[in-house]
Amino acid sequence: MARSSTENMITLMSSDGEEFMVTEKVARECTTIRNMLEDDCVITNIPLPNVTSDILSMVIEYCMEHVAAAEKAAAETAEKGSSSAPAAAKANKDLEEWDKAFMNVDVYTLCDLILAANYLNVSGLLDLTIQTAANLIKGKSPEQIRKTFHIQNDLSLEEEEKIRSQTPWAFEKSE
Amino acid sequence: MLPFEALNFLKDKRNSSNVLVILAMVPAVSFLLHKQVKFRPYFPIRKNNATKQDTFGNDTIGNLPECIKHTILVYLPIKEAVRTSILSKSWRHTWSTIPDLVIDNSIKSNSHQNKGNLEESRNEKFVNQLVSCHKGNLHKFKLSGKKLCCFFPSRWMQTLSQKQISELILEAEIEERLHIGGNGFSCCLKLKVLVLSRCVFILPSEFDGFRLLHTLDIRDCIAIKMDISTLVSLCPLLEKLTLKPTFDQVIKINAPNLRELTIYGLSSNSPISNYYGSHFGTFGVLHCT
Repeated sequence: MARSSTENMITLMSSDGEEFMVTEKVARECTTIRNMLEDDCVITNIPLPNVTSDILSMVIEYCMEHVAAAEKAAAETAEKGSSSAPAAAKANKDLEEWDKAFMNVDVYTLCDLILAANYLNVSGLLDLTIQTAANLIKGKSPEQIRKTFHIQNDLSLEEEEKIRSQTPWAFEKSE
Repeated sequence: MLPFEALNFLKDKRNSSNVLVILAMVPAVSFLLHKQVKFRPYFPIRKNNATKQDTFGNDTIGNLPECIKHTILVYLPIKEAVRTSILSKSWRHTWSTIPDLVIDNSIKSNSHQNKGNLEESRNEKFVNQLVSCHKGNLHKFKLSGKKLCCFFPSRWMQTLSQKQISELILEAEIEERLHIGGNGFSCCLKLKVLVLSRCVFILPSEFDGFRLLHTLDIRDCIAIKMDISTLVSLCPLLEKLTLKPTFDQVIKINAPNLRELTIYGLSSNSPISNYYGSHFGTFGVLHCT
């Protein structure tokens, strides 16, 4: 781990003023930050006014896990000369499991994570969170979806009836 | 041990315990701390859910920007995406501006199954409704499924063309054909990706090609007036080409930028030269299956 001590450290500051020190490699997982670093390579302190500390810590944890997984895979490939398919498949599966556990959050955290992933442009995390949100909608009745996401139904009965009559096929039972 | 240190630093941040934060910066303590925090239950993180709900109202997902809501809907079958219109006023029209329309078997219903023409005309009506209700530009349009519709009228294609469509995928199932009316897809000049399977289409002989197309996938299709060879030669930027010629179809390839060529249904005793002409670009991958 001697290599990491020479690595550049970047300080990210959340909207509530907390500071997070991460390696440049982890920070670069966020395309928004990578672009900043490429524009100005001496930058070491980055304020992120759109992200709170609890959400930023989760985003960083996601990036660290994925950087570590990628490094491990690269090290194994270098060691054996070529990557062994079963080991790579297992590593992928482990990372998927980790992602799944990481997504065990309430809908408020999920929505904040979506916004942060979108703002910081972490494509893997954005895909993961959006897929998770879509899975919470999939196969549910409108009433169940409203309950899951705390959506208040502000449509009148007449309006609801009108929407149903416009696209009746969408409200039929699926195959 | 800097990464571990940083991890500890983060985990401690959640507890807002300043003492731990400082301790975590000392490498010797950081290992112990790491062991300690490792087993700490990770979730839930938000401590102030209640206050957040009170301040912002109850709707979590409804407060997301429209573009993110669109992406969520794109991950859903179209039927469920349309169904979100009944959730609340803010969701009412969200589905109708999604960037990708993927129409598949999910729009079919149980009650009309196996009623032949009745089912097809019903499905065609709904595809028509989807195409005409959609507002704004469309990135991708995909129609794929069994007995969805057998005719794609030219007015749908005109609508897609006005929506600046860049990805068009039309696939008919085995034993079915999709007839594309009018002058086919020749009006969609912004196309970058075109995938057709078991389609019958007319391309006017004066058609001067897709200037932006980079991916073309044509399988078991019948082209009228202009043949597939001419279509290929009219796509100057073409990089990826997939072909499955019908019986007795001869396709000549003239594509200077081609990188990847995939050919289906090529029997081992038919030399590739029978199918293809001399104007190859320098491409890297050739798959024959």
